[in-house]
Formats: sequence, structure tokens, C-alpha cells
Amino acid sequence: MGTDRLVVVGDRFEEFLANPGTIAASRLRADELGERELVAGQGLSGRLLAELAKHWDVPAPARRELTHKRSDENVLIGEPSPVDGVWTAPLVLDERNEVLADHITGQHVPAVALIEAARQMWTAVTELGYPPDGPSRFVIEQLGSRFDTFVFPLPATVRYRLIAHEQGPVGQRFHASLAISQRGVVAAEFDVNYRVIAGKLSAKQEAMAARQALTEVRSTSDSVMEESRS
Amino acid sequence: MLTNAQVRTTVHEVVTDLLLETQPEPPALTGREELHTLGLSSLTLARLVIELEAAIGVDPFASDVVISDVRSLDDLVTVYERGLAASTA
Repeated sequence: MGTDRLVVVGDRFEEFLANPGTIAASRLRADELGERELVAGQGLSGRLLAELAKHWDVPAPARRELTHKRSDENVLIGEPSPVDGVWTAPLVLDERNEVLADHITGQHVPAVALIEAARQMWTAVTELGYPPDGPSRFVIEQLGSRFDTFVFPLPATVRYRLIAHEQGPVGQRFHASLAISQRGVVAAEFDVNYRVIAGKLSAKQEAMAARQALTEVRSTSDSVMEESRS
Repeated sequence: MLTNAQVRTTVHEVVTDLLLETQPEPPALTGREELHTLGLSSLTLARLVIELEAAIGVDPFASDVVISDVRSLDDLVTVYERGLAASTA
């Protein structure tokens, strides 16, 4: 029966853990659960998920290189796969990740974590489905977001739908829409335009812009700088 | 070492090649064109600098020059002529 399910959640979601039917990850003893069905909520480490996977059907985090992160705990999604033209991945939040580390208010997953999960999703889908020829940089040109309802530390899904893709002389351009759903309801939506540019070219563009900005600041009078800050 | 005339020709050729990617019939360049009127984005300018470094052997924008110093195509040619002269001085 559904009511027998126990939802395991990371300890840092302490207000959510006051709800019946939840258990903190640190208190979980798999051998004491018997036949009870377990649901992996959010806030669990990759190591714990791997342990749970021996007994239950739980998601696993994506390889970190797909998301352009250097630390395992900062990966927020599972590995995306295409289903009927839409790429899908589970939301897999480790409570130690950089966006949750100092920003949990109340019982829900903060919006900033969902934005980063969306960024990881379009990055991973691009790496898997449209791999760049060599070292590249991903550059956001436009990002719109909308948050319709709370996302709680429960299972959730991230979906990526490609709207347009163009291969140009300086790299690839993408337009995509993404949605994060929980219990079958879309909770957050994103519309993004981004480019994948050869690393050498992007670094040169950035270096020229940085020198230009620095030169302007160094040659601008204090009164003008003060005006720009107001 | 390239002569100033060769530097000018090289700059004009590379700019024309870049314009051809987005314009089927780019204008014949005189040198008086302002860079922003040619429709070169910051990314295309970065590509121009990379390609000119490969062709001429110097990148004046790496140390001495910022892009706002260059208004016209003639200015760009001058920057490369000076950069090349400085590199061999």
C-alpha cells in the first residue's frame, strides 16, 4: 500500500522531515525496514543512493563531466536519456551541493537549485546529443524562468525539449525549453538560448572584453563611476 | 616580414572572408569603413584577431591595444602594422 512507503530525505531538509512518513538519511537502517517500500527523496548523496540501489529502484547522479562540475556533490541531475524526442532525467539533489549548502528556507527546494539543475540539464543533453568538436565554452544568451508551485524534497523529473539548433561558423546555437515536474505537475519552466563556442575563440572574446572594461574603468573619473553605481 | 601593403591586403582579405559567411555580396572595402557598420559582432572580432595573428604573427590586442581604439578598418590595419614593427624592433 502507498501509505506504507517511507520517504528518505537529506537531514538538512529538517522542516520537511517533521512530516509523517519521512526519515532522515542519517537515521536510515536498511536492514530494519523489512519489506517496507522506500522512496528516495532529495538531499541524498551519490554514495547513499548507490547503497539503496541494491534494494530499491532509486536514481543515480549523472557523471559530473556531463554537467561541467568538478565535485560529485554538485551534480543535481541523473543522466539524461531521450524519450520520444524529449530528454528526461531525474532531479538528484545532494544536500551538500553548493547551491543548497547555505540556502534552505522552509520545506521546499529553493528556486536557485532548480535553475542550476536546468543549466546542468541543457549542458548534459548537449554533451550527449550534440557533442562539440573540441574544448568548448557554453554561453547563455537568454534565460527565462517561471516558478508555478513548490518543489519539495521528493522525486522530481527534469525535461529538455529542443526548439531550434543551428550550426554556425563560430559554433552551435540552441533554443530549448525545460520543465521540472513533481507528481506529474510542472512546477518550474525555463526557456533558454545558449551557444557552444570553441574554447579558444570564447577565451579571446572574453580577454578582449576584459581588457576593454578594465581600460574604461581605469580611465573614467571617480564622479562618472559614482554615477554608474547609483 | 610582411610589408605594410601586405599587412593591409591580409587584413582586408580576412575581413572580407568573415563577411562572406553572413553576406553573399559584401561591400568592396576601402579602409574607411567603421568596424561597427560592417556588422562584426564581438565574437567575430575575436575570430578576426585569432586569424590575423595566424596570418601576420602578432596580436596587438593581447597587450597594447583595446578594441575601442580601433574605429575604422584603416585603424585596424595601422594597429597591425605597428604591432608587427614593434615585434621585430
